[in-house]
Amino acid sequence: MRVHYFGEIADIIGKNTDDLVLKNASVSELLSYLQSTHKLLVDDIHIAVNHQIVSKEKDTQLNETDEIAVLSPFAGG
Amino acid sequence: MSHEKYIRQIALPLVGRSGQQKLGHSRVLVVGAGGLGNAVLPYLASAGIGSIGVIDGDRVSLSNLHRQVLFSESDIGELKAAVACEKIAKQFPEAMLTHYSEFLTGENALKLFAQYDIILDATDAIDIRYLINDACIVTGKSFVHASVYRFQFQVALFNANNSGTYRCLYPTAPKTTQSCEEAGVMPSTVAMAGLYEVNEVFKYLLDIGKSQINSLLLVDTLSNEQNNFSFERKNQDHITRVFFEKEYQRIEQLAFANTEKDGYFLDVRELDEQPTIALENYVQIPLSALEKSLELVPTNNPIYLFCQSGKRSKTAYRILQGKGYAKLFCLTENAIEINEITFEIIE
Repeated sequence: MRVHYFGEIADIIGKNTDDLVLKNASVSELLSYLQSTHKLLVDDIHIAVNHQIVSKEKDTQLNETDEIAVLSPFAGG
Repeated sequence: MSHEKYIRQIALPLVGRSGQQKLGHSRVLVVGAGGLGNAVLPYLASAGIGSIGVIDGDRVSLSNLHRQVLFSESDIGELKAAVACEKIAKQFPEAMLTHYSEFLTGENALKLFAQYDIILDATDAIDIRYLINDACIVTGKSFVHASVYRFQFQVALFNANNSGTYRCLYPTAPKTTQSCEEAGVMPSTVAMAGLYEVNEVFKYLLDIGKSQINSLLLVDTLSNEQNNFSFERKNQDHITRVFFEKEYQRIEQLAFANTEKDGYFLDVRELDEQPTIALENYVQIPLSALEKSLELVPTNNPIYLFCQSGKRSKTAYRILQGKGYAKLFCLTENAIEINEITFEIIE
C-alpha cells in the first residue's frame, strides 16, 4: 500500500512515500503504526484515502490499490 | 476609477466592465503583513479592489526582508501594516487602504470583519486561524487561507456559500508545528501561496471559476505536484457569538487568597491614587505607561492584575495577553479590598 507523507510529517519520517504492509489494513491500524514507529501524535495528523480526508473515528478499511496521504496543518506564512 | 488602467482584465469575458465594478466596490481585509501579506497586497491593489484593510501589530526586522519585499532596510523597526500601506498607496493611489497596527484579537475581530466582504488569512500561526475561522462564522464572512511549510503550501476557501470551515478540515489545533522562522522558507514559495490566495479572492468576488471550497489544495514546489484533498462539511452551529466570547474574550480571574508566592502583583492605577498598597512582589505601572514599560513585568511568573474598579486591569490583561504573557490573572478584589486584606494580615 503506497502512503504519501506531506509537510513536517515527511521530514519527521525522513521520506515522502512509503510502501506499507499492514496486518489489518485500516485507518486505525495505520495511525497506530505511525504513532508507534514514528512517534507521531494521532491528534495532529490527518489521513486521506483516495484524496478524501477520512474521519479518524470511523475505522475505514484500506485496500491495496488505495492512495493514502498523511498530512497536517502548516503554520507558516 | 480609470478603466484604461484595467483594460487588459476588463477584456476578459469573465470579468468585463461589470466585473471590474464589482472589484472596485469590494472590501478585502488582509490579516498579517508578513510574507503572505506582502505577496497579496500589490495584486489586490493592482486589480482595482476598492478598499483594502491590513491588520498586523508586528514590526519589520532584517530577517523579514528576503520574502517581505515591500519592506527595505530603512523600514526596520517600523510597523509592518503602516509601511505596507504606504508603499502600496504610492503605486496604486486609487485603492482605499486602511492599516490597523495591532494584532487580531477576540476583542477587535468581530467589529473589524463586519466591515469587509472577505477575509484573507496571511498569518503565520495556527491558533490565530481558529480565531479568524470562528470570527468569520459569527460575522458570516468567507476567508481564504494559505499556509506554508518549507517548499510546500496549502490553500483553501472556507465558509463560502455554506461550505466547510477550517474546523471541518482541522477540528483542533495540533500540539506542535513549525513556523517559517523555525522551518525556513524560500520567498518564491510564500509568494506562490499568496498569489493562489489572491486568485481565490478574485474568483469569489467575481463569482467565476471553481472556488477551492470543501477541498484543500496542497502544492509541492519542489516536484510541482498538486494534490486536492476533499473534506466533509460538518455542522458548526455551536460556533455562536456566545461561544466566541467565551473562547476569545475570556479573562482569567483569581481571588487574592488563591495567589501564589512566586506571582507578581501588578497595580495599573496612576501613581497618585489611594490607597497605597504594601505587598511583596508588588509593581505599580499605570495603564497608560504599560506598553512602554514591559521590561518591568516578569514573563515567567504569574501576574496578578488589579486597579481601582477592575476596568483598567482588564485592559491591561488584553495588552499583556497580546504581548504573549501566559500566566495572567485579574484579581477579583481591587485596591480598596486588597488594602483591607493586607491590613488584616499585618494586624
